[in-house]
Amino acid sequence: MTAQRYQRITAVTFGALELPLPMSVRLYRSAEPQLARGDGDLFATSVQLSSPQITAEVRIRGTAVAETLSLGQCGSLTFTVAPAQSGQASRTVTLGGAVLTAVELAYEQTAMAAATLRFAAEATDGADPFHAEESQ
Amino acid sequence: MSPTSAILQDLLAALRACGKFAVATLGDAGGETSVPRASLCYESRETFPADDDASVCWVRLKVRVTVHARADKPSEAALRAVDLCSLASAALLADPCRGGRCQDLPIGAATEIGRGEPGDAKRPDIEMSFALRCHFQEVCQ
Repeated sequence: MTAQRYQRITAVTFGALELPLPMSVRLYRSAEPQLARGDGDLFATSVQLSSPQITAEVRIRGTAVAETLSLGQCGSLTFTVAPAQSGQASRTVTLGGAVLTAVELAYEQTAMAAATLRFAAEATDGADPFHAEESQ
Repeated sequence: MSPTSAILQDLLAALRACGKFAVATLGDAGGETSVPRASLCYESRETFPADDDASVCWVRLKVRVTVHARADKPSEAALRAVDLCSLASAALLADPCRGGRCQDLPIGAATEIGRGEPGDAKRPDIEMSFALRCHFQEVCQ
């Protein structure tokens, strides 16, 4: 795979809803490490992982849209990032079954209002809800 | 007319409409200083990529506003220049959005005015100027 840089988010949608004026999208895939070691061992001799989970955080300035969202709302979280070099393909990233777990609305006296939306992904079939591909 | 030209024209119109300056010009026309005079000088135009919309850029237009005053005594001329600067900045901030052309953006307010700075003092004439910044959004080239 050719190394490419990406930098501009061109669209973020949650279900059928566009999340306007996106500043950043962060996806976090994690699992808790479970360490095991023998009685005489100083360090862990094996590391196993708990069930993996994927969470996402989206920061937008379109606070009016964020105000309308309800916790527990579910849908696909999709966004596209543009390549840094012209002539290359954009990348579309999808987090299927994203469940809205938190909405933080920040209204500032001297800065633009912003909303931070947090999601956790659910997979009804147990498959990886994360998918990324070149945009068509 | 480009957004830059339209904003400069709006600034000029605001100075003329306030009724405190006998002459208000784009660029320093020089000449007569027996009457209160204001001039606008374009300094620069900076473009920043918007951090929340890939299709637009944010623009900062920098302009220097200079007022020219004259009085018999230098101290009187200086006070008059300070007064004219204050009147000019009030006139320019009456509509900070410049008729909808400018807007508050993360890089700055629609119209921002800097501190007054003394300029050339050629007795009995005196100059005082301040920086002005306008911010607007345009579609990326």
